[in-house]
Amino acid sequence: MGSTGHHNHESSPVDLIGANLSFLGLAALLLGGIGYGLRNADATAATFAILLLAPLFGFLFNGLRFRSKNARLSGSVATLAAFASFLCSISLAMKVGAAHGAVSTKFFDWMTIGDLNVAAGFTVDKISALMILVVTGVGTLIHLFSIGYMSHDDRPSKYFAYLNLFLFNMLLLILGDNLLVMFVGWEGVGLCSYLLIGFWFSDSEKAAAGMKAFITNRIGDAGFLLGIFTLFFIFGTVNFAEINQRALDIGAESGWGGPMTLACLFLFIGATGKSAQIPLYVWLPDAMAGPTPVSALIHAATMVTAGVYMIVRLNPLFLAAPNALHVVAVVGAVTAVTAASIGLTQWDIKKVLAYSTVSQLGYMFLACGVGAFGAAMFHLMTHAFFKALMFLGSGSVIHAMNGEQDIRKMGGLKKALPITHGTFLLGWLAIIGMPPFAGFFSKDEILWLSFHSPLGHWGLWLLGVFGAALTAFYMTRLMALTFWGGSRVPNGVHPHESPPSMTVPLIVLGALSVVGGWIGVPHAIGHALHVPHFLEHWFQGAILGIPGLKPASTALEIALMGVSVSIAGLSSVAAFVFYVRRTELPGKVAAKFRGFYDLVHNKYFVDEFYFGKIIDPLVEASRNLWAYVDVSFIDRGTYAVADMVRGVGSVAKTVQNGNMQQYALYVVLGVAATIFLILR
Amino acid sequence: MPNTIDTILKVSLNHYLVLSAVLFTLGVLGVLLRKNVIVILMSIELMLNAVNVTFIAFSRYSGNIDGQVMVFFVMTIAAAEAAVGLALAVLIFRRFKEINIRYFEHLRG
Amino acid sequence: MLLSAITFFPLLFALLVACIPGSRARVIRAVSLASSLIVFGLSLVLLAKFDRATAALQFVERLPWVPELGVSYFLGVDGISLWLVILTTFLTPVISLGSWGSIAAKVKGFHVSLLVLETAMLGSFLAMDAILFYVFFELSLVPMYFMIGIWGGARRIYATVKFFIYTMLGSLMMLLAIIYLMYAHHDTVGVFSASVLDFYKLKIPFVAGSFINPQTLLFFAFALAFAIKVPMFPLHTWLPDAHVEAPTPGSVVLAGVMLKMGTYGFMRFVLPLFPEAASYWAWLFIFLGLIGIVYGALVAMVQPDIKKLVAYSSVSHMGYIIVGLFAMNVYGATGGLYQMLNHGVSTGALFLLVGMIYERTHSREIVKYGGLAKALPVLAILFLIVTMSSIAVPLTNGFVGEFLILMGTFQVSKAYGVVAVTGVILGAAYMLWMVKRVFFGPAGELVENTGHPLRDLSPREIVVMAPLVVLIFWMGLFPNHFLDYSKVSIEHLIETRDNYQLTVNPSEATDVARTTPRSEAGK
Repeated sequence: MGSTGHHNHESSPVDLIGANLSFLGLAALLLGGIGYGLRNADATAATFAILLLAPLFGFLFNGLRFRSKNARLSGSVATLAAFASFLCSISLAMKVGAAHGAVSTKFFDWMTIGDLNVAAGFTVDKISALMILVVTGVGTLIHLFSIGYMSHDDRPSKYFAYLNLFLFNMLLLILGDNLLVMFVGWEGVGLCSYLLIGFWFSDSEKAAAGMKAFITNRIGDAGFLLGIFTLFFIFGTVNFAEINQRALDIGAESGWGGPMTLACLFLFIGATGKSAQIPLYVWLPDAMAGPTPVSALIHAATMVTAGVYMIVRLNPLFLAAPNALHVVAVVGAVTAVTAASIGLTQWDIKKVLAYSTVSQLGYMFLACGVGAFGAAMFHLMTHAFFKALMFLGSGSVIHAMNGEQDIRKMGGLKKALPITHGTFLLGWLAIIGMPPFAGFFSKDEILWLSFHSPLGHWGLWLLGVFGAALTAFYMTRLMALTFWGGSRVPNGVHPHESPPSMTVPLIVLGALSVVGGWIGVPHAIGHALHVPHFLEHWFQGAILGIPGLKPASTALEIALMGVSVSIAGLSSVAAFVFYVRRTELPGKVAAKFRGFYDLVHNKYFVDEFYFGKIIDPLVEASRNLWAYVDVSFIDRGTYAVADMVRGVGSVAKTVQNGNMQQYALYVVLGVAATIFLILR
Repeated sequence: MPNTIDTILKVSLNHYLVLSAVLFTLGVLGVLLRKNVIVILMSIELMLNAVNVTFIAFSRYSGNIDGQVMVFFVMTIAAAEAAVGLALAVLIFRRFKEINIRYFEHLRG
Repeated sequence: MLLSAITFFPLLFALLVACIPGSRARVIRAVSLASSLIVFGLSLVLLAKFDRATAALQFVERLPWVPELGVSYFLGVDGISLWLVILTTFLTPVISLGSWGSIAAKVKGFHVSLLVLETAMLGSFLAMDAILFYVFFELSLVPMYFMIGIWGGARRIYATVKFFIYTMLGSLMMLLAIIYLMYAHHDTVGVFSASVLDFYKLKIPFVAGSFINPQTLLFFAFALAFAIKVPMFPLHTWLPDAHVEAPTPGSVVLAGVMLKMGTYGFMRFVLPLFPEAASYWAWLFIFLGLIGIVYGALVAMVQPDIKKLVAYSSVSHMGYIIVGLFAMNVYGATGGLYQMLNHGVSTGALFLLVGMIYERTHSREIVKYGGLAKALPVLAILFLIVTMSSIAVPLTNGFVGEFLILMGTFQVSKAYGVVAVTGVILGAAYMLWMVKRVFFGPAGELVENTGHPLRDLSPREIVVMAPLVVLIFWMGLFPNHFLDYSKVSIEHLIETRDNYQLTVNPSEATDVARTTPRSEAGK
């Protein structure tokens, strides 16, 4: 441990001994987990054990030496842990591919009460295989990136500990074979998100952002819990496979009040919290207070997609509740447009990306809502590539700009940051949906199915296309203000390209943003080029087809595709004109539509509404409750009772006033009464 | 003076009891109404002596000496009580220059 | 003899401690700690020998006490009381060690009080005779009264009198009810008995919809005693005062164990003794429990004092337990029992940590803090872990209990479930807001201007916290390790509540017959 020199003065020997002992204990734990799998001659169990325990081990290793300032050691251990998980994920995915079905294992029974039997059981099927590959793959790259990014930080070890803990919880979320294990991961990632957003907790605002994220997520989690209860009391199980099977057996519910619809709506509340959809999206933009790689990993690529993943996981259930799906679709589409419009007016590079993430997540929910679960997963994957790329790119920019995040103070960074710019460019092309970049294929599939699916509607398609135009505009604006045009970099800041540990992940993600979409080439194009829709084939059996989907007209599909691509293209050209060629235009337009601009720039005053109309009144009401109910009413009430007792006492005590003649009178009266009674 | 003797012989138990009752009532009223401690003590004596009268009367009319023995006890106690009571009265007088019964309230503590 | 040993060893050790000269504080502390550890060891023997396959009473001891009135010295343990006994014996050494920092004056008196209190609490959980239970239940007030009254804060007299009178009032009602039940037993069977097992056999007349009938009145008499102890809204106002004024170890005992005597009372007496009344009035208790959950959380949110905040959080958490118990299904009752243990562990830990903060800065005002995490990182980590347990993050103990309770509540009614679930949100809100204001942000005046650098946790303090933290995760990861012992008893309680009977473990029955002259034998 090269780090000891740094902190000898602040760590007592007890700490060190404790840390080392715990370290040995953890190593034993890990070996034990692996040994457990091997003893049962079960390679699958061992793979699961390593997959899950490697990040946990990394967390404990780094967590116990949290004072260490050695970013290289901490980061290497953490990255290796993530990489070990990635290798296990590949192995499991291959097993799933070979078995054409799910691979499961069970470690122990977690809770067994009454009819409730929850096992610490894990399963990989085709949906979760894709998900763990994305999470551990992108996760490894981001861990690697972080080594460079956090090299000057005060507490790199703590950072990597949290990052690994996040990975562990995310894997629990993905791999759990029942709702409860998923919920463990679900809350666990929320906790890590809280810790990482508030990583620089000495800044009050950052700590507040973490808190906001946790509490907003908790609202969603409460909905998730209610969903679990509803499902348990309908089906008597919390196991995904059993729930899906029973939902299939029962068939679709038509009304709004049915138990499955209710359960789906409850679960969707959970999804709106975790995946930042209206009305609970407000935490995600604030979450940008965390270190940028965290934003890339948690708040773009993985955690925020958990809601989408959950719905896809339960796709037979949601298909049995079409009304709930309509809600999902409408919320998704509206969020996609709303968030994109806010993205138009933001000046913070990370805030733009954050609203972009909210918007892209809206597309995924739109896909889920029209029954296109495969498309949702597809977009989830491509989005993980290009959005992680752009966040890391923004991290590289921020790193180069000494922490500056305001794009008004950037511009012309293309020269100073060639690799960052080049890779960012690929991400930009992917997100605005230019063929043949990854985002094109996934977004096009969503738009097409939102139009064509029997669960869809042309209005949804229109919202989607409008959102795509806005996306193209604000992303081009971001590119233009950051990388192109003239430089507005303040004096004294000398942007420089980042070290290889940061650029290598960028390059890998850049490549993925190009080729990632090729596994899902739409049939309309694929037929001509003889390229199969690889992903659809992969998901067969795991994701149900859209019920009642009619064969498509190729011409219509290509026409719609052309419309959306050209609108997006035109929109980005417009943005290019606005922000590179004629830079006075944006100000003029903003001045012309001042009221509307202010509304959008201030994010529709949603935060102000939540604080002003809900949170502050609630706190005020609580103060009143305390002051009036507890102090004034209950305590005063008890005092009143006490005073009454005292009052009776003070009346009674006048009898005993020390006046002897009065006492004598009592005696006489007593005697008289006695005599009277006897003689009566 | 046979007439007188007759009269005396005609005095029945009831006469003594009535006398005793009257004396006792006077004593009670004295204790309850008078403020002077000395007078109160005297009234207590009056009550005790009223009781003594009944003792003697019963003793005489039932031919049993026990009642007369009891009277000696009562007289002894009356003496002791008067001594204690007067001592208190003297102390009260020393302190307040007056021997009103209300000053005894200060003994309440 | 095991139960008697567990119950009365602390009392014996208290006498031993009382014989040590008061100036030898170190010896007193060491002896007190060692004796509470011995008692803990004994309770582990109990755990090891406990037969978890039966709902019957085990380790029964029964001796006549007042045979004319059927009162006996009657101890026994089943799956409901087992863990509460272990909780008590587990927390006492923790508290004993934890008190080394906070109790500097009158050390002897404190440790004697603590050990006497342990006997009283263990006796309440183990007594199977109503009068014996009443005696222990009341006995526990006395050492607590002194703990708050002698080692407490500025308003300690007010707080301790309030605490005493509140709880006493309820217990007197219970005493009346117990006496009534003894007469009722005499009227039906012909002999007096104060055995709870005999009480279970009584059929107490019940009329729905009216107050003036024996079962309803008895139900409310018992319920009042326990509701004050729990404490349930609106009888809770003694708790924040008592907690704020109590010294740290006093708060830990109070929150950790004494409040459980109330919820235990509901499980042992109220639910099975008065089944019709309990079912009929369940809505009222669920309603008050729900109010407690939400109200406690809201009021906790606006407290300026850390300790008062934790105290109100107890009101909220205890509300969960009440709701769980009155849900009257397996999930609610199991969750309720588990939450009793959780609350003991995590709120106990919270009070210990708050005490540790207080010992360093001598203030509990939240606004004066800020940035404490930078100054005291280890304490901050532990505080965060305990916070997570308190707000029921999965893989900590709190989640298991809260989840089961919410599930049980949801089974009763969706509306109840929805209201109860808001507590999950509010719980996170008040705890995290407090954590943010105390630990995060820039250094506050107390952290900045202490004049001396704040010292992070000492090895002793880490030893105090370590078992609690281990339990938090152990109970969260492997709840079955704990619940397996209670499952049969709880299922028995829930399934046969309308006609609840508790038997003595048959394998011990001969033993009991030999040592127990029948109470009517004297007649």
